[in-house]
Amino acid sequence: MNSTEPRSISRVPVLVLLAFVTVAIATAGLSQSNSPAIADDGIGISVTVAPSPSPSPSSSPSGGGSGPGGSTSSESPSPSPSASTLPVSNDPGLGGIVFVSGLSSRHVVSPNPMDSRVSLTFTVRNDAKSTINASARFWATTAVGARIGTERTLDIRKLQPNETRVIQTSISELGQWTAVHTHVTFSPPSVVDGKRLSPVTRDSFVVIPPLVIVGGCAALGLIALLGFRLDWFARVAAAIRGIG
Amino acid sequence: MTTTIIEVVPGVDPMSEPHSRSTKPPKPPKVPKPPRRMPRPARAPIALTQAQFFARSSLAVVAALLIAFVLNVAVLSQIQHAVAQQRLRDDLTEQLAAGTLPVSEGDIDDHLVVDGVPLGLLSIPSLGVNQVFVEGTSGSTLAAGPGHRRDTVLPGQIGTSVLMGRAAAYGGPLARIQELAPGDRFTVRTGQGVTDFSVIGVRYAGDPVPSAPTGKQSRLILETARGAPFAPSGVAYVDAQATSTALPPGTRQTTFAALPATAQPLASDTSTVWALVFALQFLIVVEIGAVWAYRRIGAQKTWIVFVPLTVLAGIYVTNQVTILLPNLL
Repeated sequence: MNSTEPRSISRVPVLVLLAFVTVAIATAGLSQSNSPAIADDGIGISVTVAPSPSPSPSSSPSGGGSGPGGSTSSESPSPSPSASTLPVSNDPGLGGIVFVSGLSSRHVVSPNPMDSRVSLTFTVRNDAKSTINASARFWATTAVGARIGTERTLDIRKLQPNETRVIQTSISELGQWTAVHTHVTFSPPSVVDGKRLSPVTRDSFVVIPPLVIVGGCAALGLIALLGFRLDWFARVAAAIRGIG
Repeated sequence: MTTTIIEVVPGVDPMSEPHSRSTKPPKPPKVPKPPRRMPRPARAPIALTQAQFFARSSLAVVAALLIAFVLNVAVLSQIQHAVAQQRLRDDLTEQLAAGTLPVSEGDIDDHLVVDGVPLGLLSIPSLGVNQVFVEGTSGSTLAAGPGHRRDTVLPGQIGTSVLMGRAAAYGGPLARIQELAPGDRFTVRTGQGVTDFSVIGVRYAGDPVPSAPTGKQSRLILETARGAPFAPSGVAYVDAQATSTALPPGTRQTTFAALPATAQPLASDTSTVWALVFALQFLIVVEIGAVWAYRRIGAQKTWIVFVPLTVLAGIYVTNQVTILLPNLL
């Protein structure tokens, strides 16, 4: 019996090693099978580069580019890949004649920490041929989607053709919600230049420092520190009195 | 050997100190104050069963890995991105000077441009963005910087090109592109020169795209994740139109149909799962070695040797996990 025990112990590392190698090989095989035809160059295809039709690079950094270098495709531009590959809904949106930016949010420090305030900026551009009137509704939600703070609706009047206008407002009474999502819904006229438009929404995320919570913790820490210090002072004073 | 001679005076203790300063009697010893609180009785040692000990150790390892993961995503990935950008910038400068920067999907030797090769410089002054972009848009590629979707032409060339970039991890180079307003300007430098772009607008998935560029126009689409950092809720697109002369396009071998799934927006790159398995195996081996050394060699030497090894294994594991996250994160 004694002779078999060391042998069984020596088998453990070998079995563990075998298990590790098996798992590694299986995983490597699985990852290979998940990405078929992955070439050594890191992409999923293997092709031969066409020899000539590529533009010659220019060493001058500020030039407008070199000649086509025998390229035939430069004469007829390829169709937009984004237009064909990006998801497109039936919702007309802004119809390609009114353009908006994203929503920028910035926390504004307020003397009243319970009345946290966020400044919101949004830009709209009218590329239509006619002047339009629109509106922008701003609101905020918590990380779980609950509505907080004040809601603002601004009228955007007489936006001229080719005019870009910056819309700025602020939302208050956001309390101590640290992670806040802000939103704006831009509502254009339903029909502009014969095109049907519909409202679009842009979102943003802003962090509001929880000043009350942090301040409260800091105050508690200060009180605890002072208490410790006072106790320490009392001990020192007692020691001095004892010496006297 | 030394000898001490003590003079004996009648009535004086020879061992007492001489009364040189005062004649006060010595103070009585202080009586210690009673403690304010009675000392707590010592706790009885908790005897864990083997299962409890295993559960505690496992939870400790998982907690350490979670902390390492957060540190990796929030701190280490930013440093990795900065280092990668520095290297790419050096490479880009060298190739620009030599005139060998790829302007099509093939390099100067007619080899397919591999993922991660620098292609140009994206400069958005209003956002403070100055990033070298590379070929490819998989998660591991976008760790170095913005990536060019390889089925589209290069920025500035005739047609529509797409640059994708992360919004939070690995430097979050395109985190603020939603702040770009219609009419804002930025530039892209490639091997063919500098192209000026003017922002058209910001789109979300589902919004209608602007009309396709016609004639010899160049369009650029910047893509990144939107929503809270590290918790993307979708993709934001910024369309921009070239205001300078569009450049002749280079040949593209890859089509959208041939584009790997890992190159799509918010896709995960699982091609390196095998590396994660190896990293986990390395971590387990290190842990086993640490336990063995703790019992056989002692705590101090085990700490000195195995703490750096464990940290290294933790970084390796969490780095591989980070790469598996969505590519625009």
